[in-house]
Amino acid sequence: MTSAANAAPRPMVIAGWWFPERGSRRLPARLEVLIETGEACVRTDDPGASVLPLDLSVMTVSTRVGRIPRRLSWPDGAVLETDDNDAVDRLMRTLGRGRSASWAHGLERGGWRFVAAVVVMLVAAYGILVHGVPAAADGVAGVLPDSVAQAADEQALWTVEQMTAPSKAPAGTREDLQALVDELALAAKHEGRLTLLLRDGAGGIGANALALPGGTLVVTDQMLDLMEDPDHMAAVLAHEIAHVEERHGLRRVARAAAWTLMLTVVVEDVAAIGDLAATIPAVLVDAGYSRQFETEADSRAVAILRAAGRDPAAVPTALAKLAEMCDDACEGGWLDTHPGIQERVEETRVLAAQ
Amino acid sequence: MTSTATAAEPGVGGTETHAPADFRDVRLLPFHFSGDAKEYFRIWIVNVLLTVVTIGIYSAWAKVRTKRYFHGNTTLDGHAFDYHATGKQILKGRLVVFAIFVVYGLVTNIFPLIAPLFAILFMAFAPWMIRASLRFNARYTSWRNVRLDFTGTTLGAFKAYVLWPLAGSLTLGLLMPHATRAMWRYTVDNHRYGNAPMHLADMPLKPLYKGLLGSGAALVGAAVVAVFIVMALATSNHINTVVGQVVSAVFVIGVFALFLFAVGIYQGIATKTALAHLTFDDRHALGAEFSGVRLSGILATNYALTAVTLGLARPWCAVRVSRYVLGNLVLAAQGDLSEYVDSGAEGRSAVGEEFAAFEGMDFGIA
Repeated sequence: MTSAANAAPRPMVIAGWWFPERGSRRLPARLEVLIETGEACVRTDDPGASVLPLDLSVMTVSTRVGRIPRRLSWPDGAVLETDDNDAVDRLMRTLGRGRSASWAHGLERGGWRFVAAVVVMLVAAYGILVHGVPAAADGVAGVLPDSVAQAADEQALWTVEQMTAPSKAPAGTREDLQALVDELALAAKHEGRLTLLLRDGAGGIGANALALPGGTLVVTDQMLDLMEDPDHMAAVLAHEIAHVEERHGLRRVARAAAWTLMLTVVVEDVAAIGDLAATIPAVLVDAGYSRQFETEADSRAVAILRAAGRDPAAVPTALAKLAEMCDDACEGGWLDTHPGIQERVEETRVLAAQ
Repeated sequence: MTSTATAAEPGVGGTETHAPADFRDVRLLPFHFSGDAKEYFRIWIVNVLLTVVTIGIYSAWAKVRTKRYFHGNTTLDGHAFDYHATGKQILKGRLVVFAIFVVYGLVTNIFPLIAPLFAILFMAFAPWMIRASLRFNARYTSWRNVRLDFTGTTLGAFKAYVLWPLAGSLTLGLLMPHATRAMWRYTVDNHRYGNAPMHLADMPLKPLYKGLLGSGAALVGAAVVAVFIVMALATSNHINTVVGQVVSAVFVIGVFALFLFAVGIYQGIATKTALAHLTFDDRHALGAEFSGVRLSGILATNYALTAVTLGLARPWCAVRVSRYVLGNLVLAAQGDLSEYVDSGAEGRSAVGEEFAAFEGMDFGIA
């Protein structure tokens, strides 16, 4: 033997356990592959079957995860298990199947590829969570037919009626308010029915106004007393109309559901009881969406009043009146569904002055 | 063959096993966990981020990778376990579950009065999901090239996982140890390695009651702390300042963590007791050399840590508990382990198993 070209080609060797059939019988073995010819065989000390030829084209290889053993299997149930992941990766590359074998492992292995992947994915994740998820949820909420919103109203109305008593306002008040609502709805170019309901909130929700997704607006006697000036009442009604226009009720529900789904899927690895920890971020996020909607309704209210020919400064004034009734509890914060009242007064004052 | 001899005094630190009385030809085969927290953290982070970026689709493959990591790093007698389900199988199940959840979420939010009906329907479905989950996981797990199997019935699952826990909660926890034993028994007695059945021999309840006491004490402690903090916050003028908000948030997380802590205490004792009485093929027995109290401590601090870090500590915690339990587990094997064959059946639908995991009904230690 004088030149390298005449030397017998050395096979690639992968050592492991050979399972000749499905069952727990195993033998120490060496898989030998001649790269040049593609021939492969497995050598064991199984009497009568010490060298078995193998067809690599029908071989399935498990993907790499960390350092766990790799499984090479054949359709007849034979399996070779080996700890030598690097050798298997080399074999897969020479067979032209390297990329699919362990791309995830390539990221997880560490090093610059891992860091780069994490950074890129964090940016993408931020975009998806902060913009994508709410946008998708809003899309679903926007597509829901009005009949669904109205059906939801009936259920919500039942709850409101449990929490309040029939209105004690003089006869004709409701009709006057309905006329105001209709005037504002016209100015806002709102399509769809808007019905006003008057209730007594004494001992319960007090001075309050609610907008239900299907177009029912609930106002309490106490709010009526607080907002004697019709312009102030108009401000309150415009704010509630804005909620209905923008489908805030449905959007908030859809966003909450989407967020919960997302969290459940991502956090599913955590033990069952640990899912409770996922509800904390969900509550915080929902409060954040709610505050965003309140701010939107405030600015839309200013625009509606302007379109109706009324004084838009009535909005900050009405909010300021509400502020007199509050103490510390109206400051707003992470867990609150409304932004701080002073903040709202300032912002609407600026908008009204434009 | 009933086995009654014990290799050592059962207790806090001793080896507990129900090895057969005939000690001829018994070998002690150790379990071992070779996973590493840093390595798993990288896998976990890539899983989480890819899942978010693919809006949940990758979660199926992420789950397969996680399971393969833990199975593949668990060795018995130097040979590793394996998990064979594919991402595609898991994904199919998840898509069905996702559709059901979307309907459930929208309907119960828009028509909240229907929610209780859904809860009842869910309770009726739970036994089927549990059984499907156990069966799928068993049939796609193998050791030494032989698959596990699960032969439990849905009725059995209903009794063990719905009736008994109901009894446990209705009696304010007094019957909970019975429920725990019923669940373990249903799970273990119906598992097979190949054709060889597993069996949970006479699991005693006294250690579980002790664990329950410890758990209860921790819960009472948590309640006392909670009441103190609530009173302090309610009478404070600073509730709406930034500091007040931070304190409130910390308090909420802290109460969760304490609750999970209490659960961990009970689970640790229960797991040790159960594993110490697990036999298979009527001649091999598990020996649990770890301390139930120590496992309780690990589980309890794991849960609390995971809650406090909002999940980031999870990889480290998972590796920690696997390493402890498996590092102190042996199989007292009588005879050769090389004559086992598959019972022949492949697992079928992944839907049930996916429903269970989606709802976070994973149980056990790893």
